[in-house]
Amino acid sequence: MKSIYFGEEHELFRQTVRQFVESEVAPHADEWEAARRIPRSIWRRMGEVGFLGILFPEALGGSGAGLFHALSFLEELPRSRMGGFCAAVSVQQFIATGALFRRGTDALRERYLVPSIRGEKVGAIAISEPDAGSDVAAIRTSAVRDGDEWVIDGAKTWITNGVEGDFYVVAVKTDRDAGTGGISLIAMDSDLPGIRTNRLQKMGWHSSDTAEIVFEGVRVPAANLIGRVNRGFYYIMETFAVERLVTAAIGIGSSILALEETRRYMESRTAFGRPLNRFQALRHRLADLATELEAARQLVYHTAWLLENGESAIRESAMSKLLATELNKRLVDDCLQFFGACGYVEEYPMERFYRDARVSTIVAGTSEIMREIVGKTDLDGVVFGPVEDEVSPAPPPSPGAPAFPAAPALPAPLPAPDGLAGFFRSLPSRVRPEKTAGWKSRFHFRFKGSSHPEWTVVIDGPSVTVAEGLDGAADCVVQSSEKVYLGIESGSQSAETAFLMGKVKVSNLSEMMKYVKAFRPVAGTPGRQ
Amino acid sequence: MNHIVCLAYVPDTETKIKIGADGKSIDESDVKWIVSPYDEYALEEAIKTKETKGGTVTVVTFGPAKADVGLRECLARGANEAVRIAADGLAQVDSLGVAKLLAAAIKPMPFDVLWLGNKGVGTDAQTLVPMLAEFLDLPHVNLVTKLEWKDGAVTCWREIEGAKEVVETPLPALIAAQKGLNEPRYASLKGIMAAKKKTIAVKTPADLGVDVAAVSGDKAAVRWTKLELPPARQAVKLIPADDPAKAAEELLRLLRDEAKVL
Ligand SMILES: Cc1cc2nc3c(=O)[nH]c(=O)nc-3n(C[C@H](O)[C@H](O)[C@H](O)COP(=O)(O)OP(=O)(O)OC[C@H]3O[C@@H](n4cnc5c(N)ncnc54)[C@H](O)[C@@H]3O)c2cc1C
Repeated sequence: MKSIYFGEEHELFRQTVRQFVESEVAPHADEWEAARRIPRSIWRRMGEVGFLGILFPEALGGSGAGLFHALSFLEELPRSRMGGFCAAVSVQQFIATGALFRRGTDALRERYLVPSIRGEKVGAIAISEPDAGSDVAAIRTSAVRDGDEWVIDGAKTWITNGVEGDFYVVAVKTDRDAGTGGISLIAMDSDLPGIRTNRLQKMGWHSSDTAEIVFEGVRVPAANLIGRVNRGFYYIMETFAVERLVTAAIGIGSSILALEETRRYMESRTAFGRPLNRFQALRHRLADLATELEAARQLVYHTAWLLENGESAIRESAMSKLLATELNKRLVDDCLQFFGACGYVEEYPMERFYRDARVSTIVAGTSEIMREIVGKTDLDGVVFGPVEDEVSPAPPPSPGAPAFPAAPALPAPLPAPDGLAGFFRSLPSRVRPEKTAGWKSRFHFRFKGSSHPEWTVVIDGPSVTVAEGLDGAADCVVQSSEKVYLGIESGSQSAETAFLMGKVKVSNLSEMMKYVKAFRPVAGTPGRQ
Repeated sequence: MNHIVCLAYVPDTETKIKIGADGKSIDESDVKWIVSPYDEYALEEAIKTKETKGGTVTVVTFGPAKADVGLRECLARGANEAVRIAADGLAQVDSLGVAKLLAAAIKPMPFDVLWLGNKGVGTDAQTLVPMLAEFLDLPHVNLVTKLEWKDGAVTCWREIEGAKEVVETPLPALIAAQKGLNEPRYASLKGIMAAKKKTIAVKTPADLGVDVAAVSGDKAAVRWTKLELPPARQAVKLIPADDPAKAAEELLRLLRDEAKVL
């Protein structure tokens, strides 16, 4: 392939995946779609050939490869001719297991991640609820600590791999009043007492099982908490960029295949004595689609490149997901048109392509939510991450001792009414001179509706001066609300969440990143170490 | 037990072959290249045997630089080393020339089994196996679909017209794989990543002491003078069958007058 992103080894992997999918998966497409499930044998087979651990390290049985290998894989998956298969496989590998890998204890990784890389266990991620889809903060499924266990009650819905899966990563409320700051992730076996599932009937993605799951007094060991309590939303967000990229790449692969099938059909079908591909009206539309597809594909690659180079790429991954899935939806519609009646019947590929493409603008964040993210960056000037890795993986529970506090840790209490002033006045005593050496910068802080709305912080090497009011020309202006800022400072709110929700605006991100690292946290509060 | 597998990098069997401007070579511009499927059976058997009995697998090809992709695929599947005899810029070399080059490359290497595919799917000459065996003074068994290893020998099942023939040969020997011997594995991603780091040893015909001019182009024992595509298939003619008697009559007429087979 002539590309700055893909080398010979990506191409070889892509060919291998294509051959595998075309010979071991696609021939069963009709059967699996009708059965509305994917047999276990194909998971194990994919595990054997190393298709299920592309990004995970070799120590866990993965391949330790990069995002461009993942893209090579994802673009070929649609050759299975089942959107549902693509969904099941990508959820298992890239979405359900991300937080387990990044934040889970060794024991949790051993129990769930390692067998899922081998294809021996199938996983699901359960976030959405009947009353909370796009609005993740509104989830109500609760986990209450009782001795060495969490007790889980509530309902999830639309969960991919929910009926057939062996384990779930479930987003639960561990602090009912705290919004996104009260969500935790808990991993669990799917066959625990109190769990009931129901398979939903859908327009497309037939081979993928999509489930309602009810949790009634489900008892899960305390050690199954992923990372730390009330950090779940942050962990979910850590995987968002990759999840969106994954969905975009499947959209791209699906469009590539749809165009291939269409070109073939237009060559063989004649009307008015000519093959369809000789009609200019159709040729031009095909040319437009091919052009848009190429552009979308390059955006996806650019986003992967940003991610590979340590950028958070929140904006670009949202754009990629938006563009690639909206294009896929429109492209299969146009291609179906070129097939005439043959596009509408099950004997030809377009009928399923059309049904399967439809859901891609809804799952993994709707198009509207993707537009909201782009709107926030481009219209409100919100700068998203990269935020310093705030929390290190939770230490494995030591034997004997209770692994976690008997009750979920509550967010640290907010400081006294003069909180804002207290935080600012304490800055000089909290400075880390090794982080500010040789650095000169002036910050302006503005807090809407606060009794102390304006602050200037001047950093000059080891010396830091703080004054109320706005003074001099700032290198970086930070705008937020008093409550959010104190939440971040006290560790009860993640900075990344606040950025993502547009609750903090920063004019110069790189200066802010330095600032975040320049001060020790207030004694006694959890949060940045 | 050490294995050497010779393989050909050939146009994908699904490629639409186009004839080049000179009328006697293939237009390679749109060709997708693959390791010849029969060679894949040979490679798979060598790797499987290595995995159970130890030893190494070395793959050897005679081909241009692009064949490195094929060699790397073999490394990704589990071959230990790869050697390419550089064909870049050479005139057409026939099977005899290829056999001489391969024999010269293989002679200094220690091995127990030399593997080939029963045939390439390139020119389909099917002459390389006996010629190579002759040059290397090896016993050879072709059309092999099953093997049983013994001490210093191997029993081979050969597929012959309507029957299986069981033969035994001492090692070292040349074994040519037939379809049915095994199911070749996929290269794993881990294997692909590891193969990236390996180097492919490239040797020129001169390095091997072979006078390539004497076995190529006008001097080759077999020269291509002309290539022709099979005639294009005509569209199917449907005979309306409303009246079977008339339809049969029409069919006979077409077979006699148009197809001229009666
Ligand atoms: C086949 C399938 C598989 C799925 N798999 C999973 C899974 O494995 N795990 C999981 O947790 N979830 C899964 N989901 C759920 C999916 O993530 C949600 O459907 C999605 O997040 C949207 O939520 P919702 O359906 O509740 O829509 P709502 O949030 O109710 O949205 C309804 C409409 O309002 C729009 N809207 C909402 N908020 C805004 C806003 N702020 N601005 C503008 N417009 C807005 C939406 O874009 C949409 O058009 C799956 C869904 C489907 C259909």
